[in-house]
Amino acid sequence: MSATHPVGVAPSPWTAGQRLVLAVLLVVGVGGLLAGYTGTSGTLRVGHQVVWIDLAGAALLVSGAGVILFLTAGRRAIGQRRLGLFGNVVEGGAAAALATGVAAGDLVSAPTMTKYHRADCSFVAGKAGVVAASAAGHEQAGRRPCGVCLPGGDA
Amino acid sequence: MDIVKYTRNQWDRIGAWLCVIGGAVALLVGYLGVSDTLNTGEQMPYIVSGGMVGLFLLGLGALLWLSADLRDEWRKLDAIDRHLVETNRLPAPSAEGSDVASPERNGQVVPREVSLR
Repeated sequence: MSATHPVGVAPSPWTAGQRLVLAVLLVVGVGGLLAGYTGTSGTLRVGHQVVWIDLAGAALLVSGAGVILFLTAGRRAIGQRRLGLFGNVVEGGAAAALATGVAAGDLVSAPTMTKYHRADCSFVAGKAGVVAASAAGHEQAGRRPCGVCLPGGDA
Repeated sequence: MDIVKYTRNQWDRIGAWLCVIGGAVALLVGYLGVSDTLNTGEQMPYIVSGGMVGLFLLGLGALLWLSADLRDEWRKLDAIDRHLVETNRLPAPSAEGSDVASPERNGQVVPREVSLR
């Protein structure tokens, strides 16, 4: 498969070490189950079979733990990456608002927009022609409050 | 639809279904084997080969299916990452080792920080 992932980013959520741990634990599980089956089928005495049943059960738990660890690691890696990509949207929006000279508490909009926003809302970040006005002014212009930053709400 | 291409792209989900079906069959075989005799010594092998192997295969199927979902999500993040670089909202990785370069964290390559402006 061709490497379509961006430069500097791992091609999958898991490292080679995590894959290796999973493989080892799954092999332990398969081996334990095979040993358990062989041991229990080799005798009809329940007292001897119980040990092998315990071994198979332990192997099943070990492989299950490997599965859980593997999935958790993948979930965590994706969470970190999402945080890296989208985590600082608010800071980016605030910086953009300050760069345009609009005060952080202003209610702003642009001529092409149908809603008005707080100046630090990410939806106005980078928009051209952003102007500040009162809420009544925006309403008179036919704009409605943004449903994300809630310019008409508290704080 | 090209079945070979589909199989190559969705090998993990196909494997998941096969594991789940195999697990269900193993559980059924185990049940039939256990219910076929009253001798506990004869029932034990069916508990392992049917019950435990069935559970193992069901777990393996769940692993394959969920890991396929995680890989899909990772690829979507790849697409977003590439789009941000192409639209200049995310600096392309540089060779100077600036904060754009991905640091290693717990052995996992972590992504670059970005400001969506």
